[in-house]
Amino acid sequence: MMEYVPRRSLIHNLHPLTKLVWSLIILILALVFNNPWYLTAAILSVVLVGLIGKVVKETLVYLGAMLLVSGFVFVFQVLFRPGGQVLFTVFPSSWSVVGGWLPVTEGGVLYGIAMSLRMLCIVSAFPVILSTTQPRDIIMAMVDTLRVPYDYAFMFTAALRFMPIVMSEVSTISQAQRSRAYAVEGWNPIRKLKAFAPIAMPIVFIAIEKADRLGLCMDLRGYGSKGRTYLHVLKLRFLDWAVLALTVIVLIGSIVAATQGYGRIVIPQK
Amino acid sequence: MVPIIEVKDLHHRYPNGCHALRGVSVTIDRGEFVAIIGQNGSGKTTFVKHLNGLLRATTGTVYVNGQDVSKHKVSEMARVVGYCFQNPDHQIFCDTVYNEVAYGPRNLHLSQAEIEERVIEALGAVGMLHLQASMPRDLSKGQRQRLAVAAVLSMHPEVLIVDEPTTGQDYRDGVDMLSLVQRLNQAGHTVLFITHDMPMVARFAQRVIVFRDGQILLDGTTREVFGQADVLRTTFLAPPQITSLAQALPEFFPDTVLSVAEMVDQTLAVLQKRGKEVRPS
Amino acid sequence: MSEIVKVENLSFRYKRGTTPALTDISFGVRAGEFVGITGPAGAGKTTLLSCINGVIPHYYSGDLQGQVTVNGLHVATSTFRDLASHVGTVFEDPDFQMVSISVEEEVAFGPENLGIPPDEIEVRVQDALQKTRISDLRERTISTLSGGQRQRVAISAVLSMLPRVLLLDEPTSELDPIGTHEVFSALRELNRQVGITVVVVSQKMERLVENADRILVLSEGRLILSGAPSEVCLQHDVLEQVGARVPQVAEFMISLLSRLDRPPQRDLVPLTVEGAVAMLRETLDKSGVA
Repeated sequence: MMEYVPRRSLIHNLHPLTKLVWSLIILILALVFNNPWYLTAAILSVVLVGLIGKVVKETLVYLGAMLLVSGFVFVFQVLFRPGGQVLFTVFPSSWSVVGGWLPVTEGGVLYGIAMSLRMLCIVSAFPVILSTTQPRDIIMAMVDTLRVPYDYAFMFTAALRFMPIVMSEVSTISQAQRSRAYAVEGWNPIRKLKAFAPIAMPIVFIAIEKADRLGLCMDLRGYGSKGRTYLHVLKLRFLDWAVLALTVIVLIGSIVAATQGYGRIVIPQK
Repeated sequence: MVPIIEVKDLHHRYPNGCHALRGVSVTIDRGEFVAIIGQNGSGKTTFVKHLNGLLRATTGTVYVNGQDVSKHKVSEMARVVGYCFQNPDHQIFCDTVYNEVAYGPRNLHLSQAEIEERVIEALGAVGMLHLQASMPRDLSKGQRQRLAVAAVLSMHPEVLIVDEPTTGQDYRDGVDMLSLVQRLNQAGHTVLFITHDMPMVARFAQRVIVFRDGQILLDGTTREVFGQADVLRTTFLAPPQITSLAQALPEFFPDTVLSVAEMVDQTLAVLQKRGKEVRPS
Repeated sequence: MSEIVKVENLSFRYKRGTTPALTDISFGVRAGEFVGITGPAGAGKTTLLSCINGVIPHYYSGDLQGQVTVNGLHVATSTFRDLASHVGTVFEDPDFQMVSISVEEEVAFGPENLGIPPDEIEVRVQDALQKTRISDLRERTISTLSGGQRQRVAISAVLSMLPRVLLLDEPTSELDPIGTHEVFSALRELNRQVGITVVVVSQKMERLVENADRILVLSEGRLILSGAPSEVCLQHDVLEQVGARVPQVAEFMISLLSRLDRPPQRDLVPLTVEGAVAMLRETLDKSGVA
């Protein structure tokens, strides 16, 4: 899970909606183009945005992790989307029975590269958004524009805050029970269910008790009163409009270019 | 005689990169009563979790009762090392006190008769035999803590690790808890307890190990360790008030004092030497 | 000086309680006082605080008798919202009393709920953080802070509501020695420099006698001792009997003087190690052969 990285940058100052629109446009570009060069350019543009946002390291780490997944996409497409000239086969023809199976074709390789780059491009914007935007701001943007009631938005941030704490409690409970020779072995589903109790019971009780306490603390600080105000009000500023305009221009330009044949290549099919 | 715990140059690095233990070596003999102190984050809890295999060494060796811990599962080590976690509610899940204490032995696949015997024995040791049919959730915090001890005792461990028995506790419950642990020590268990409560350390522990930044800063008898107040100060720890009081007047009190009674006696001795009339005790 | 908290003949029994949790408790707290409340588990300390901040009767119902007023407000008939700007409460658990991800959000939470204008919220947040000396932690994520830091955030989060009275229920019981020191230092400063009335429930008798103007001892729902720290320590046999802790230096001096056949005196009860050193040195010097 990507976390917010507090830094001062232009990207950090953008309204969450601006960033969301930007990521949507990157998504559309990824779907419009299938030329690997154009897709790579799109990914590099995202990395450039990460650089401006001073979160390029985090972005590259995330993309690096995603390379593994895109590698799978590549292999999958190569093997199951053949077309055009056969370059070689995975099983050499000289072998018996499986000789000549799983051809690796020119079309397949090209398609594989394109699809894996497309996948990377689609997800590339996420780390930039998540590391430059406070979770609270994302949720407040939803409250403002989507008219989501504050209570629901609050539940979301509370979940984000307490998930790690609850996970930590579960981990402690697991350690405590393992210290009493608790071990989940075997495949028997009934036994697995029974084995749930030593972990589930304590966490349920603890969670209920603490949730009660938390509710009390919130009430004591006036939660639930009408007419709530907010310290930080998100406003669309000049920078936001400028960025939005720029991205829309890029989008329109790209779609026009695509219809003219740029950025799209013909991939040989079977 | 082989020591019951032998740790050599133990290093532990958490997945997030934190180097929590930086070369810890320690030997503990059977039957010792050891207090482990240090600020939060100094490595004390990380250290004790290596003794029953909850955490595995990055480098270094951990031997408990002659066995290499790295070659055993946590459930196997549970027969040798009993770990009482700080919050008993992290363990308690059964409907009756009896079942709670029987849970450990049941996991060890012992006979019904053996389990019954152990449960009765453990509950007797913590003074809760009369509550065996009660619901654990109905008990007071102090009782639940003792229940957790019984639940660990029923596994017949050689070593008992007690994690912060007095933190978040009522003073009396804390004393009861440590007195119980002391009785268990006298019955033959090796005891390690983690605490922040210095007067309790002075009262109960024979040996004190001080952790700082993943290393052992001091290791010695209680008197030796509390005698080195300036070293303790480097990790923002202080000996009990009474010890500090004596240390502030070294011309009168050259030795380390561990209790109020000791201090009173020593003061009276000093006064007598100076010709003051003293009422016999 | 007027009493900012007045508790008169307070008795309470929980709805499903067999015995009363509090019986006939009466005391007052003057504005600017630092009061410590101690006693064994089950003595009624938390129940007492709950009667002052309105948790009883608004959250927990039962048989409530007597009267509690805070800054003139009648607790039983005021809403949480009304009481929030007069009395704030900090609890034991550093994790489960705060709801936000960052420090700034948490300290702003209270004023936001009350509908305070954003400009004023900004002032209050800055102020509250400064009072507990954690201004540099404003942008930090709460889960990355130490226990002592988190409790100070909790204190700030309550201070931003501008209460005159701060109640704390065992604020350091889950903390290490450094954290305990940080919290008590913050409380001492809040009380001495800012003038906030502080009421702390704690088992850490040594910290209480060092900082409090007055100590109340509860046992089995009754107020059995009330007075200046040295007065309360003089009653050490009562304290031991109910399971409350007597600070070592006080116990020592009292014990020593009784063995010397000297009558117990208020001003011969040390509350700190330094005080004890001075007293002991004087006693030893006086005894020296001329």
